Amino acid sequence: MSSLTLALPSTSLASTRPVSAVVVSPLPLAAILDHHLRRGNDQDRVFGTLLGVRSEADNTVQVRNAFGVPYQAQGRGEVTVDMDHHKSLLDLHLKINPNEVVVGWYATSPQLNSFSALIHNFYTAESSPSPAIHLTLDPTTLAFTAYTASPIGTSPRPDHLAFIPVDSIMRLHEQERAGIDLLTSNLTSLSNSAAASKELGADLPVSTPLATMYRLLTKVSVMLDQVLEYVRAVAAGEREGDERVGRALLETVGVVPTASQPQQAQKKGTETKGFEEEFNAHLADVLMVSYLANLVKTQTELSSRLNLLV
Amino acid sequence: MSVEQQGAFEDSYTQPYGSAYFISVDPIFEEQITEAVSLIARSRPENVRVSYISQFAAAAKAASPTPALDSEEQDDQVQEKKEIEEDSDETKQAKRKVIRDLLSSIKGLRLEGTDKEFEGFANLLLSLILSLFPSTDVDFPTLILILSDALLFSADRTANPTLSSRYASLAILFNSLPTTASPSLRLTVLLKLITYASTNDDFTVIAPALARLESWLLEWGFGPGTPGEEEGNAAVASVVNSLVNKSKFVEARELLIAHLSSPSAVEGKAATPSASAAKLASQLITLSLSLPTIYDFSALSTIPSVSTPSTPRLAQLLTIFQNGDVAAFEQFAKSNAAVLDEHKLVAEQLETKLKLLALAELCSKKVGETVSYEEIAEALKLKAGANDDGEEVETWVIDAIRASLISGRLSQSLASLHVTRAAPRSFTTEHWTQLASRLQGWRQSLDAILDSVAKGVNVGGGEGVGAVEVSQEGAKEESA
Repeated sequence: MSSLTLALPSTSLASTRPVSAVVVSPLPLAAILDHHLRRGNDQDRVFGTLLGVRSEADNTVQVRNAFGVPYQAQGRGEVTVDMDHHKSLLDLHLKINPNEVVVGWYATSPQLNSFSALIHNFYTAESSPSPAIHLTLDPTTLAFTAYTASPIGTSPRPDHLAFIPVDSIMRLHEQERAGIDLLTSNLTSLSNSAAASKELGADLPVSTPLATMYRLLTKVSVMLDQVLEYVRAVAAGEREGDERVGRALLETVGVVPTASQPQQAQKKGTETKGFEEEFNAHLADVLMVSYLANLVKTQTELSSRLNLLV
Repeated sequence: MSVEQQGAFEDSYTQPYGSAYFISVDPIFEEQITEAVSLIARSRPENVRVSYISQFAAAAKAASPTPALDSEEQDDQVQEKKEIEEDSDETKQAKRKVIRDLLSSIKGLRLEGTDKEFEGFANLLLSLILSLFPSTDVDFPTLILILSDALLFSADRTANPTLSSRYASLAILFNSLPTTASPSLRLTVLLKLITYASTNDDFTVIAPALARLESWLLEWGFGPGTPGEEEGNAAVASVVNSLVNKSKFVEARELLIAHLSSPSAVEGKAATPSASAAKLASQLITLSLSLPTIYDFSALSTIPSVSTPSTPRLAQLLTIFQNGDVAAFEQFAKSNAAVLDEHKLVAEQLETKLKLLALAELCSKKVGETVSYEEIAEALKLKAGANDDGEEVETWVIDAIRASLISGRLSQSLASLHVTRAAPRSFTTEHWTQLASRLQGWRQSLDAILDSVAKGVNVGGGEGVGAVEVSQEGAKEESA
């Protein structure tokens, strides 16, 4: 069952400010999984620190980074967590990016236990004055859940805590997309042959604006094909169309300059052409300028070298 | 080795309830009760406080299996905790009695305390109930409801604890209801929360709950076409009422649309909607008609129960808005003034909306063209004065643009409107075909652009490499 997170109003005190949602970037999730896969043979789960940013405007916590903290379990009921390791790594991270602070901790097991309460207390102190969050990642299903802690009893005891679920979502930041695309394309090509990796290699030297534009245009045209297929099926009466989709599409198409005048069917052809021609001509101009610029550059380079020789 | 290691994380103090976890290491029943009671006692008259606390403390002590534990015994207790819990039915019964008494003593009491104390108190009582009473127990729903009432009971707004901590505590209670708890109990708790927050005007707080209400109703078996349909409809009706009472018409309408168009309702098209659904449909039509921001009425026709609302006249009125004109409405209004009055619909407002729709319809046939003021005046049946200068037409057009029905440019000197976009009144196959042809056009021009960009990429790439080569050669020469 999905849990309920209320949009509680902000308070002036940081320690009582509610957490309305936890936004996780793909990077920390990948780091947590990586940590889990590299765990020792005798361990069934790993812990670590979550770094991120708190947004005071909407009370969300953004998890942007994570690092593992080693621990040792000695028999029943005894766990030693290497807090020195946490402190020194945290220092290093803060040197790189002082904006990302400790927001909580993670564990790679969907089940909580009494150590969760004790570890959580440590992280509450680390992330003070704001409350810490706890993220559990199930390594088999890859499902993750975020919790905040709430005391049980009027006189708070460190080992009496209720962990309350908070809405958690994964969000990919625009800036990360290129990197994630590259990573995931590698993933899919793993199953394919070496040909795919060769293709990937060709893509790797990241690209001129024009090449990027080429890629984006290809993407758009693929998406357009999908939409066209749907619209055609609906128009031909093969499937029931959703009116809302139709209206949204019509609005979108209206914004596209070349296709905005469908009423003038004959005129439309010429106008589309006009736009294309203009675009092509402009593109040719740009290419010419860049060619000439390169030519000039080469020329000067040559002449300076020749001057040296002479 | 690994077995032993896993054992390190196993303990009997952690209990998952619902989607929350409660962790209490070595809980001592007597202490827990005393803590809870001392907070409750603050709301009691001073002269009975002490006796009240000691009464419960004594009861709790009597209920605990081994009243005085020294530390050694406690360790043994930990090892055998499971056994003890399972064995001593008597103890459990005694503890349950204490909890029952405790909860009946907080009925109608205004709890006092700081936010932190209140939060802890609520969690404490909740964990006691959850650990001692299985969700199938007959007393379980009653106790949960008493607790939720007590959490929400407050005499005035400013009192400590604050409203937000009350909301938060009830949300925790809702989240920690075990999966085996009855759906009605969940719904009741949720409705309590929604009603309480709406009486205090805290709609932003419960917005997430409202957004999920429909999916929960379906999940819990209150969706249309199920045995729990009536209960679900009643719940939606009560939420909608509290929203309407606070003038939250847009939210109320969204909730109604979500509820009436939920999947199972659409599937069961053949079945006639129940009386309660028909009532909700009437409310939906009324809200859609009276809200000044809603102009899309064709979307409503996909909702089955809307065609058979509890007031059949409303369906007729909706049809006029879907494809009728002002004249048809005037006729309707003349003979059905009582119906309009009953649903608090204002004839003038409706007429205005209808005229704007007519304007949009006119414009949607002329996207990319110009429409003269005369045409607009004729479509709207405006009787313009001699020296009006089209001002009235302009007002109407501006209103339509503001309602985002159309967009375009007015030209006063030419007395015409250049339409760049207009929302069609209903979305037909014709529109789909039109959309397909526009998309096709877009696709083609995109292909052409793609071609030239592809050329550009090849040319630019080759030339760039050449330049690099030259400079490398130059470097070589230099080093030589």
